[in-house]
Amino acid sequence: MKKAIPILIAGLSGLLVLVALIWQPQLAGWLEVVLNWAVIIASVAALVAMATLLLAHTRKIIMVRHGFIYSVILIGAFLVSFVGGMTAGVENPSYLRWIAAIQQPAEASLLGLAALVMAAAALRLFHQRGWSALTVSFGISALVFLVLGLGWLQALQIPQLDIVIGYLEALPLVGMRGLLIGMGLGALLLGLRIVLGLERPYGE
Amino acid sequence: MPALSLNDLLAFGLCVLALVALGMNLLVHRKHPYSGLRHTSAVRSTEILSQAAAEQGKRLTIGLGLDVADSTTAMASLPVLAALTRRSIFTDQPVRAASGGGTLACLSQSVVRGTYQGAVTPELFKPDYALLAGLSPYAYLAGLLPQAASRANAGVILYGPHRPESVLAVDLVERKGNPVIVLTSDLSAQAVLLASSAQLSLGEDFFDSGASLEVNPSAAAALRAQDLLRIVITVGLILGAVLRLLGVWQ
Repeated sequence: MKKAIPILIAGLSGLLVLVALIWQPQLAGWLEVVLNWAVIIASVAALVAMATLLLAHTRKIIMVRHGFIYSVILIGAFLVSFVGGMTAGVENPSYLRWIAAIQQPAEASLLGLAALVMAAAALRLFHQRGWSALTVSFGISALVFLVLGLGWLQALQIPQLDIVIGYLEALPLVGMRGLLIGMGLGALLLGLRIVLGLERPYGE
Repeated sequence: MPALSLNDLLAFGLCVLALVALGMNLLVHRKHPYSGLRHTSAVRSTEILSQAAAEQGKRLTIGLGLDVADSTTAMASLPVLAALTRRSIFTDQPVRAASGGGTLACLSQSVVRGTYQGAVTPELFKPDYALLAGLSPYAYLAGLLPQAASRANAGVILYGPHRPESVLAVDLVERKGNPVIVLTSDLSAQAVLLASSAQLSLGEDFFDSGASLEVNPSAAAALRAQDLLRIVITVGLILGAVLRLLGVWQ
């Protein structure tokens, strides 16, 4: 019984969302209610996960484990943001500006670093994976789309060339659709298995 | 009751067909669910890596990717987490999981705790085994990087919806000389990580974990159903293209 209740709740809510997505005009009200519940549960889950994280880092500090200084920084940063948000309000422009001033440069530097690593990885591709149909086609397509992305060929304004470029630019979309159909089928069957209780990602 | 549009009817038909194919495969292959099934090499490698980690007395770190709210495909990684945790319960260093969102962190915590309870060893479970790495994609990446770089790792598995920036974590693990396996549902990340030396799964192989690790008969039935539906969709697409070419269907 203890195991059956979560399966039943998961199955029924999944089924309701699935049916409501197809018969939207009739079930839109119910769909909204269920989605609101999902948002509330997800928010509570985020709080629980944060509390677990903070407890784990507090334990690390108390036991003076290797790298505990990072735990001190994490808890300190959390407390400052939390107290700031609670006192000034999360919609306060000064609070938001202050958070963005820390978050945006950190994210931008990570993205910049990722771009450099991607470029280096692309250069190392043939060394690491050898010459195969996959690597050669990867290299050629990267080169072709790099040239197309520059826009020089389009600037020549030759009608026949524009047709060829149009076809080439449609190719990634065609390939992506093929892959997305496969991914969609995988996701659909995973969803059905969860709804039917055949897969229980929420525990043993 | 207003009539359903063609798209809704197609979606409904596909759901029913998927359900029928799943049920049929479960019934037909109920005695030998995994016989003659194709295996995804990246998923099988996670098993080999788990054994290697146990032999070295080191641990495996699994990055579960972004939250369920960002991508429902995050659910697909949890059976693998359960399977690898089950195999590492009595080793020196059990598996550690890092999640990119609150819901996924709670689910992974529940899965790991359930696995320890299932093995009748709840006293060995520690909440540190499945923790939140960050609540946004970049925060997750920043939280994952130190865990991926840990000297206690025998290897790193990134299983779940990961963005192309995950190449940073992969590069870091490679520099530490550890193997890395990536199974992601994000097509851009698949394309970017193709250039790395990580063992990578392409396309929908991401969903094959339960079948490849032979831990869930319904996963094997789903894989067979998926293949069947792919054929049906391909035939439908070709037929649609031919009909449109002939001017029968506008």
